Amino acid sequence: MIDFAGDWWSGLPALAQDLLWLCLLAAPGLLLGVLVVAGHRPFALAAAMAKRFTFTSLLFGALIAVSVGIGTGLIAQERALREGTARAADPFDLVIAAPGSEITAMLAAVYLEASDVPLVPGDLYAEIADDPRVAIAAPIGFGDHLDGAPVVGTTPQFVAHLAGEPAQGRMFADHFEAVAGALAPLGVGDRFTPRHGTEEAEGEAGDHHDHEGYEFSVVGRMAPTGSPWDRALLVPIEAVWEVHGLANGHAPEHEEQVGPPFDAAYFPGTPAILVTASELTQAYALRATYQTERTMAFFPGAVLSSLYGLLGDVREAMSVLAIVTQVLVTAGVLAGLVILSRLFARQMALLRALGAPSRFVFAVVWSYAAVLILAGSGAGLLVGYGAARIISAIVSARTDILIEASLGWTELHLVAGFVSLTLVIALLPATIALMRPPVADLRA
Amino acid sequence: MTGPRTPAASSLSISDLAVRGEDGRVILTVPALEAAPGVSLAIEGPSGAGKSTFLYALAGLVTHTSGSIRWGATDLLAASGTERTRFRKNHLGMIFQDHLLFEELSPLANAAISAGYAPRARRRAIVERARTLLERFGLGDVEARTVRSFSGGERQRIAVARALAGNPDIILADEPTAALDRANADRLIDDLAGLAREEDRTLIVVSHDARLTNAMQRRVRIADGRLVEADAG
Repeated sequence: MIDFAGDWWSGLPALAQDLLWLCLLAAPGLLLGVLVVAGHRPFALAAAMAKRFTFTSLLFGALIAVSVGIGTGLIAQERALREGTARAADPFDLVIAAPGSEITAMLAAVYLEASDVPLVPGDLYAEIADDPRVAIAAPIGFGDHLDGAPVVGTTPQFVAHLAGEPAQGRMFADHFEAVAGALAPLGVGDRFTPRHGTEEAEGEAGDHHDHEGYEFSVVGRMAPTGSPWDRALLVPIEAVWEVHGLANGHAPEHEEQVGPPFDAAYFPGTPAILVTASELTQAYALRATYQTERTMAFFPGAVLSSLYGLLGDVREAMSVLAIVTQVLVTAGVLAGLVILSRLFARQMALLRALGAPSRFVFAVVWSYAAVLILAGSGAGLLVGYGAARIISAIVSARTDILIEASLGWTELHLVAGFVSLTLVIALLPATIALMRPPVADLRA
Repeated sequence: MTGPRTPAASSLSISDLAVRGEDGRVILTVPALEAAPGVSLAIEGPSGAGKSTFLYALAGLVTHTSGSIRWGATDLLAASGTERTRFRKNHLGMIFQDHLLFEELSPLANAAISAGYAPRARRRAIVERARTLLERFGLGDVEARTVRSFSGGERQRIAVARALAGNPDIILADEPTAALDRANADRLIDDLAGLAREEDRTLIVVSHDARLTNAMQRRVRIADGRLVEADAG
């Protein structure tokens, strides 16, 4: 029976599963609402109470909205960050680098977070480039910048693989031509001289200087990729080596060449080789082949997954904390409602004196709390979404990784569960309101 | 008709009523009182004598009691809380000194407040009767404005309409003219006494207002927590 239910559940489309979860989580609250108000019309009085105590009602609603907003915003933001970083890493099938930290190598190659990593020598590069299973083997070189935009050396083949044909202009074809990323501060026709080092390192001890005498002209602009490469200025790898006084990867008789094949004897080394397999299935074989003492090979997506896995517990803890915060805030608000119920105790006593059944009085107080909870939760979803959008924009601006927050099923499930739970908790102030002696309140 | 009017339910018979305070001390005794259906009765006495307590006891709102308060066949003190509530809903209308209206609602919504908890079949009739009563009391604009914008006299007339909208057999009024100027008080007395008389309802008022108590058919007096003087009725 359990197996059957499990099979039935896993056989449902994801949308149906999400919808069913939503219904399941919202059902207790809805059912309770139906049970409490059935046969009565308490909403006009609940609305009158909300109007009478407008400021207090708004304050309580705002508290609920903020607590729901924190929970939903946190989840939406975390997901957006995960999706954004994964999307940025998507075009990078396989990275081969000198042995060391995969995370450091990934941050350098995929997210252009420059760091000192050992270089892969020419003979190894040649071996990889000559492997028949390899379609593209692109060396990369960085270490220069222009006004915060990293200057990255690579091959025209990899730029085309990363972003397709240039959105504007053409691909670089000469050592001192460049293609600007979609968000780079230069346009087609602009010229620039790169500055040694990274912008972050400016002001620190070290060698910071312009590469005088080396002027690049921008001949094309890449289509957006949603990755830090959008901010970069992409130049031939040969030029990066040349401006640093190294061989340019080609024998003197081919020194004007741009892109592969490279001559191992004139190959100065690269921090990472960005590899695209000729067939997807070959990627795993390539990783196995180049996972050696001299090289490490990894899928950036897999490294991200293990990183997310590592952070998964933290994420779970944050989610639980967000829920606990929501419940605590709501419990506080409902405790406030109990106190507030003293303010409208006369009105409730009046209803009882007029012959309103206890269930009606109960329904009025509960409906008032329900209005605050529903309005606060609805506003909380908007607050969470808005906060996630703002934070995403800030993170995108700082990392150049396109982070797009949106509301997902998880947030809706969270809010549905929260609303159901708090509607149950709202039974408490309604019960307490009934316990007050009506005569004393009428005389108050 | 908007409700299950049973005039027999409005005959009052009290015997050996004692109301105790929280500390167990007797705060009101009424050895005996009889009233026929449709009578109007004033309860007089100095402040703090127990007049309002008596009125609340007649509505079944007071808990620490002994003896009996019999409305028709219903012994209110022997009834459960739910039965008392049902009795109030079906047979009683109450009016208070300071109107006790929902300020954020319209006069009509206030006067027809019992439609919110009445059986579905009675709701429309309650609203219509509330509208008719408000018109009779000279109140216009009964849906568009909230009661906040109405004068004290108008508010008390709305409260009277609320007490009568459910078509009760018995109306209990606690100092209904105390917060009104003379002109408004006189108008309210005419409306309230006139309606009770026309519709043959039992009307019991607690009041210091001689003009109101004089308009009643009978008067009784409470002093020092005891019904000391019941007229012949």
